[in-house]
Amino acid sequence: MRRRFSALVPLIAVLLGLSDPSMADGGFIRRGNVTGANPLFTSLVACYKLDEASGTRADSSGNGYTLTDNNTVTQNTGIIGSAGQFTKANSEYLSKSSVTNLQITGDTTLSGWFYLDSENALDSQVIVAKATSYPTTSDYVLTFQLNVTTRTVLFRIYHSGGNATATYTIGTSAITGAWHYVIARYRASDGKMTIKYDAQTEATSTESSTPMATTGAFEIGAFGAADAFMDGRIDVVKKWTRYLSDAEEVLDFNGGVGVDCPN
Amino acid sequence: MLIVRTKMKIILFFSLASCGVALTALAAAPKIDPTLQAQVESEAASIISSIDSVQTTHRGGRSKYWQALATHSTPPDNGKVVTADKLAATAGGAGNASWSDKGFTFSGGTRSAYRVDEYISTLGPGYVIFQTVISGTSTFTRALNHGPEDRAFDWTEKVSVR
Repeated sequence: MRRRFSALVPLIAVLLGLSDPSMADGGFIRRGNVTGANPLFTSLVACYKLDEASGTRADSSGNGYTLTDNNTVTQNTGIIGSAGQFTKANSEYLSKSSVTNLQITGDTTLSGWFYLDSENALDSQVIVAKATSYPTTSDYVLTFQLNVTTRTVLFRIYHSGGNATATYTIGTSAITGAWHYVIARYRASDGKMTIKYDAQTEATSTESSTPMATTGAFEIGAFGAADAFMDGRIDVVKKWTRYLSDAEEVLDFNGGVGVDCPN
Repeated sequence: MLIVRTKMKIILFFSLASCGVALTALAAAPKIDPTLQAQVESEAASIISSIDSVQTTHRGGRSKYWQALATHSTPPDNGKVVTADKLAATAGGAGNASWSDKGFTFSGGTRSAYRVDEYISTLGPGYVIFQTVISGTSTFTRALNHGPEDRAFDWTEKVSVR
């Protein structure tokens, strides 16, 4: 009798709206149950699992912003499933021509996971960017940088004639060979910019001007198709057209294991 | 009448002000030197034609076009003719060929650097030829697209994320 009841628990949970088995995480993020649609996915306008072995990469948000493969991005083990494997020496990256949802026209959040194979002094390795050239067609960039000895992740928003940058300083030790999470936010009402690396304290800045909303391509693993190529893996890249709450940032990091895109 | 004149003055003021903003923005964007532009575009014509020919042959029986890394480790600057020092470099992966493998010698050197990106989009395969040159102290690139995506752009200043 007890065994029969145990078997019925998931069914009862679904009937009561306590979980949704159709969702990527079964309606549960860790131990927090979610009813109906996962609220974390509200205003999620692009989401890339990067599970494909080659060729175009699908957008799981439902918007169909499929990524074009440039110079043969390959595949490797990801933080969830598989990831895109980018080789800097080959100038490999993924791209999507500009659409309004990929611009910054209001509140915005970007997140993604990266795994560096190498670090190059005085160089950047881009996780995600929307840029072709400066100053006419660059919108934003979320990137890892190694200055001389100091590692940083930064979120830069371009405006006419300049830019604003939120920078988190990681430290002086190499971070290669491990997965790292980065999430960046922009709040239009007061220009607040934030960047958070793994579970560390976030860094902030202010964009006092209106962000550029250009025709530059949306890219994963490069900046303007010509610079700052990633040498490593990138996985589960998300873009929202809203400013996620602090609690939602924690949910998306999910204790270091991430949250997959919707199916 | 006075109100109409005042309104017209206000409209004129804002029109001039917006033109001023636009002109300021345009002035902020550096342009490639026109003489250099003419030189490198003239130089590129036959090279682009050769690349197109090589791509047509390469594509036969393959799912994608040929990718070529940059011909120069540093783009030539201000019209100088520079020997292409990266002609033997190949993109990693099976079956990739270098410029030399494809018969390009660029004998005597070139006034600009060239790179070819291949791509696979939902609309099919294509490739983009990037031509890069240093004009003054700025690096300029143009992209010539051969394929289903809208990837071409005219000479634009390229700067690092930094």
